[in-house]
Amino acid sequence: MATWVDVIFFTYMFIGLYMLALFLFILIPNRNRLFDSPKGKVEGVSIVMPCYNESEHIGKAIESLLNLDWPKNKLEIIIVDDKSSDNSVEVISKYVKKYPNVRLIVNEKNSGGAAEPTNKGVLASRFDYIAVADADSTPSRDALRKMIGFLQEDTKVGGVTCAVLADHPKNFMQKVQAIEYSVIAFNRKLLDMVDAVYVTPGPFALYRKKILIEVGLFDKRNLTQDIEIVWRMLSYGYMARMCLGTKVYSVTPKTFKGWWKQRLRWNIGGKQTLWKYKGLVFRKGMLGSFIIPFFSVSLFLGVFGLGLFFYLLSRRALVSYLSTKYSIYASSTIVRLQDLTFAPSILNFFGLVLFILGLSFTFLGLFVINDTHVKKGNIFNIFFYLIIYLAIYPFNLIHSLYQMARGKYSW
Amino acid sequence: MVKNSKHAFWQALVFTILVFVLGIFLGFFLENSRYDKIEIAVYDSEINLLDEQLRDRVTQDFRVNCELASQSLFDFADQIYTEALNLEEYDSASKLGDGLKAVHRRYDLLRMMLWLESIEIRDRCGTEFHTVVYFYDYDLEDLNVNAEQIFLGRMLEDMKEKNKDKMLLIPIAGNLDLASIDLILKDYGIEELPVILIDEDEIVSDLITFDELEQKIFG
Repeated sequence: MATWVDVIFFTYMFIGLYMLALFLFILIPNRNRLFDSPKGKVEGVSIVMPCYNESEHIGKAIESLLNLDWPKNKLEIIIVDDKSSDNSVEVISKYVKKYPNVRLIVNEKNSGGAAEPTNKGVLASRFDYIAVADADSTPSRDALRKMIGFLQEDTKVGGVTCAVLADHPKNFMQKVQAIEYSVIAFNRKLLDMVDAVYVTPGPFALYRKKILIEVGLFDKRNLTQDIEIVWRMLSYGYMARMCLGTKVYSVTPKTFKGWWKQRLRWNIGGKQTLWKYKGLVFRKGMLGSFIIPFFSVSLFLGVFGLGLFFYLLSRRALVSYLSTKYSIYASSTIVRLQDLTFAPSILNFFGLVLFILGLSFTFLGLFVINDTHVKKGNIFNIFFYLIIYLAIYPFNLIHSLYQMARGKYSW
Repeated sequence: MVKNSKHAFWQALVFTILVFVLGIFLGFFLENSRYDKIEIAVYDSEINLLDEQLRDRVTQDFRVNCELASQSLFDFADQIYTEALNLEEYDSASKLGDGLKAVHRRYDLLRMMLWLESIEIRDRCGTEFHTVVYFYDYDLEDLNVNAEQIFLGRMLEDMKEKNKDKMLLIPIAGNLDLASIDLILKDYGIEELPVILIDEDEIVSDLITFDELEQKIFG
């Protein structure tokens, strides 16, 4: 007979299957429209790039912006240095001297985040469209051409994001993140089909300046100002779109420690945003009816699932420890072959089906995004991503809650 | 430009419910097929037990060799022991029904009858074997009891393997609300499980080593 633990497993599987089915039912009717972009016309765009200690990447990032397929007289690049302690300003200054449409603003003191320098850049801009770019990211040449149409087509659209992919993944950690980035880009496009894009990631996003100012610019206290700004726009009745037809390559952390720190920031920022907008649940269109419940349920399932996992693991470990201790004391067998056999239950079959569906969906995402940096033949990396990498996430979630409870968090 | 696909939310819900209901039906089908398999094994064992009882009558009335009778008893005990292991496996994998618990009770009754049969044969034939009845807890909520039962189960199997023809091992669940078993437990003053009863005489309820248990069984 099913125990309470079995009932919880069934619930998890139901939610997992529902999310997969949801993406499938969004994908099927839209499969030929994933890469479509509305035709846009050339208008002035100011690109704002906050920078802090990015001397290693900033040159390449500016080059990629200068290389964008967009008339130079309709493009300005504003780099806001947040009091870097390296030679970022020196590197940027060379471009400022060489290109008249590149400007540099240097903060007198470090603001401790990306929001403040970005806001400064927005307020200093000349044009009606604002692109925000990270100093370690390189957008495709056609990024503005493919993205601007989304804003021009519908005045209710406040921001547009594109596919954020991993820039030249070299080590194992980066290769696994490259898989994740492709899957996320695929999922985000599917969410776009139901007006549920909830983030315009920092590497490259395009906004309507008027809306940015109307909603009050980026939140300086939030660690993920790129999530918060979208939620705020949604709460004002605007929305964000996703353009899969173009991409931006972003540098990913090389080490586990770097990755952990980055995800900690993302998780804390996500929760800050969730807390700020909790009152809008079941209100304000997709924000309250899908995005807030989706975030809340994911958070609850992640934390609760980890707790349950440890509860079951500790029970099993304790039983194994005691029975082994008794067996050693009695000089009898510790493990028998029949202990390793088991009759699979309906839960095992459900779990297997869900895993196969998840694996197929991951392959589908990789196939659709077709990032040349991701070797789809590397089955080990994909299995690692699905089984280990995703399982590490709830631990980071718990750590972020702990940090928030202590009030110790920063960029 | 963007075609809204919000109807996907309820489509996915309907689809998920359908798949889940289908999965639950398949689960019932799987568990029923296991139940049927076990039930057939129970019928066979019941027939074997009747056969055993008849054989016993034949042994008495027609003066058939006692050695043959006890060998037959051991074979039967081994058979239902193996079947019980399968039952345990299926029982732990059962999530949707409670049918296997009933089968478990029938098996326990069979093992009770086997025990009584063994007493009778030993008394009548004076055969040199020892009966070890292992009363265990069917519900494994208590971690300590669970660990103790895993340990005792392994040790008794080791003992049985070492002394194949000298020891009759009869595991019986002690808390499945069977009047005959409850009566015996009460008679022996057994209140906590697991417990080992050796030759209807000595009770072992404390932690014990393999050698100590062997000493208690075989003297």
